[in-house]
Amino acid sequence: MKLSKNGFEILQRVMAELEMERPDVLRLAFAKGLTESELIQEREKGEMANIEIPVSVIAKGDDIVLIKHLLIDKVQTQINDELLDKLIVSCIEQGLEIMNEELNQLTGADSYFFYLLEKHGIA
Amino acid sequence: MIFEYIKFKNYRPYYGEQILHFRDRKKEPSSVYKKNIILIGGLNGHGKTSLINAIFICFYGRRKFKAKEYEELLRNAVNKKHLAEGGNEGAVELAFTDHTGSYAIEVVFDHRDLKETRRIYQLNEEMQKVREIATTEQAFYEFIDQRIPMDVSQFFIFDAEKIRDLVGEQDSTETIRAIQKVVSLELYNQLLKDLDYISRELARDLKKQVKDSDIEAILDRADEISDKLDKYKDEETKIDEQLAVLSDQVRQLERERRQLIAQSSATKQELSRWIGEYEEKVNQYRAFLKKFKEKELYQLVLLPAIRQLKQNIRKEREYLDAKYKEKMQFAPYEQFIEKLLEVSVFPPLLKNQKNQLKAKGKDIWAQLNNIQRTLLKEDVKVIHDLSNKDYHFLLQYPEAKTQNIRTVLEEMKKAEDMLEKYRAQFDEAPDAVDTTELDEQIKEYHQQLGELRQKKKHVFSVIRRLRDEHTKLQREITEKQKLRDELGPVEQKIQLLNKLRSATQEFIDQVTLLKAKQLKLQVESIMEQMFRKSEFGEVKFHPEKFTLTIYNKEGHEVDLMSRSEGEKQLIALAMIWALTKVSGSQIPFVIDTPLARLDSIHRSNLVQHYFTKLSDQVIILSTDTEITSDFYSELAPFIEKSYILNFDEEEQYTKIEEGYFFEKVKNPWLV
Repeated sequence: MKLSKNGFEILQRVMAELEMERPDVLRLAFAKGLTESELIQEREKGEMANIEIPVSVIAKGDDIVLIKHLLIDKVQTQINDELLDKLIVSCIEQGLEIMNEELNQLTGADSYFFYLLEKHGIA
Repeated sequence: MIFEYIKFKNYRPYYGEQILHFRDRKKEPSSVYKKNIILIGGLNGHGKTSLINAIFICFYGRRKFKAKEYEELLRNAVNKKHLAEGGNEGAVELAFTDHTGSYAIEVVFDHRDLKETRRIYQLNEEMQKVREIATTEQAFYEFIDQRIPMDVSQFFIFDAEKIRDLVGEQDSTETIRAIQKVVSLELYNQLLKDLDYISRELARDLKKQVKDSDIEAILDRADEISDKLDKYKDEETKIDEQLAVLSDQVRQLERERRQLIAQSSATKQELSRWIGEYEEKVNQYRAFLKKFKEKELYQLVLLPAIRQLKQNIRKEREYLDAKYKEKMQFAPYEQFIEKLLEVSVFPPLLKNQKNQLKAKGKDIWAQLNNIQRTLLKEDVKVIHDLSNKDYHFLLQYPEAKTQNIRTVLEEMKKAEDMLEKYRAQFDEAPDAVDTTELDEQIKEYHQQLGELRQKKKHVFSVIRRLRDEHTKLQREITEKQKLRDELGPVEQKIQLLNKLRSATQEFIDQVTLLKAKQLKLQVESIMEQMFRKSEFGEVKFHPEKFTLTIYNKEGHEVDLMSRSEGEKQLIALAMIWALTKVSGSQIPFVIDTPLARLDSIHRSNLVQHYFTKLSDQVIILSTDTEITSDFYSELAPFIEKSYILNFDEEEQYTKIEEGYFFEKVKNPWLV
């Protein structure tokens, strides 16, 4: 899969902010997109970043079953494999957008990691 | 940075809620005078020191105080009158604005538990709280330290009487480090450290990197060694015996050495051990956090969705089961009615009539056979097409458990602080007691042990490698290929990093020189303005130590320690001013009793040339005798706000009132 240029820039920003590796941030973005977007929309065609990311970073092995059914639950309809890939990318893109907005409203004194922990009731 | 206000709520002498605004937000910019002075008057014991301490507490918490001092502070934090009325809480709130926005720090003191709670808020343009900021206490301290580092706060918030000691202490390590922090050199040095850290990480990556030839070599080596397997096994037993004997001897010697070292305190060895321990701790915390971020963070974010999914598929499954059960119960009826309706009658039944018969018949059949038809309560849309295996996999999908990450973060920060402290101490620590002889012996034994262990390791690895030769090699090959792809061109990265490092080093050297030169010029110029007699000639700043030497007109070094107390105070103030100018950052000043020891000419110089130019905000705390009415009128055009802290004997608490002593004289209430 390929991320949009904008999405890729946000990805870099989040990686730096959270001091996390790319696959981990992608998984996080997916989780955020899935749990926080109103609905998952197929993304508009725009400029793509020049880097290929395997969909398997989001889920390997049996976990793909989980991801697929989480998405089915979200879109409330059955999906085939081609649509699954598309939805995963959309989820990631939307998750990245959400994280970008969250980052924009933070001040210099906030820690984004902490913000996430508090927001998702983890801390 | 600019202070906006400080709010006291039943804190020390301040009863009820009282606020002191440091900035007149509605003020029109004056073209003639830069109104940068806030004058706060108060007699002894009326709350000036409480005000300064409140700023320290908000910014630095207990770090700024000695343990006993802070305990005392906590015990007396809540206003006595408030306590007598049954209250238990006192609070301070300090608000400030910097280039990133406005913030309020609120510290609440609980008298019963003798503890403080700290909250940080983001403020809007109107200085109203927008939301609480998500941060740990340690991370907040770091945020403040980036603006006014704690060890340089003494240059910005100080008792002018005591600041003259700076002249005598200017070559102490703490002062030098603090000065370097003010002029941001610390920051650059940190950059260098960070680059070194990355460099080490990359070197580790380089070590991990694999070449194709390695993979073949492993196969060859395995073949070669398999012949010698028996021989190695014999050797392993022998090595084990030798290892046991030697280890005992080393333990004995090390115990002896520890006892020797324990007799002298905080030696290099001891510090290095602590450093080792804390490095280990910090590494463990880092590893824990890394793992948490890799594995659990996203799972925790997903958790609500996973729970919802489980609930939904369970509901679908129940629905499908119920539907199936019902279908089975009506199977004989379906068979019967199908057959019955195939029978031809006259006149023939319409389709609609057949359907009615079928439905009514079903009801009668259910009644006669006692079939409960309440299983399908609601119509469920089935969207999850799940095999039994997948259904159970999803239903039993493990849910990530919340851990106390907040504590881990706090602990990690603390460990990092300790590490930094020990590292700084390490540089200055005395050398240890002489353990050379023992060290030599231990070293020798360790060497032997090392060799033996190496041998054992070698033998062991050979045996293991042979045992699962094929499977392991296969896995190793794929893993290594993957690793190589992930690491990318490490050599290139290291090359670039080295370039960056030497550029940074050169930059730091140049900046250091530049800052020293600037400091020299600034000190010279301010001294010329402030001193009555112009006996001073050149000023020299030593860039590597950041210390000051002043020469007289004849070129002889002036002994700073032999100057009068007033002069020392002025020299120290000159240094501070030079520092703020060179640092380039705007920091508010809070100066307690600034004029007590100075004669009228020096005082006048100080007001004219110093306070008014020092910074965008200079908060002066003074008693009534220090600033005479002449002086007050000289200062008046530069004053943005003035307050008087007035202890009301009758009500037994301090009231903050606008205005200053000399304005108040006319006030009959005060007379």
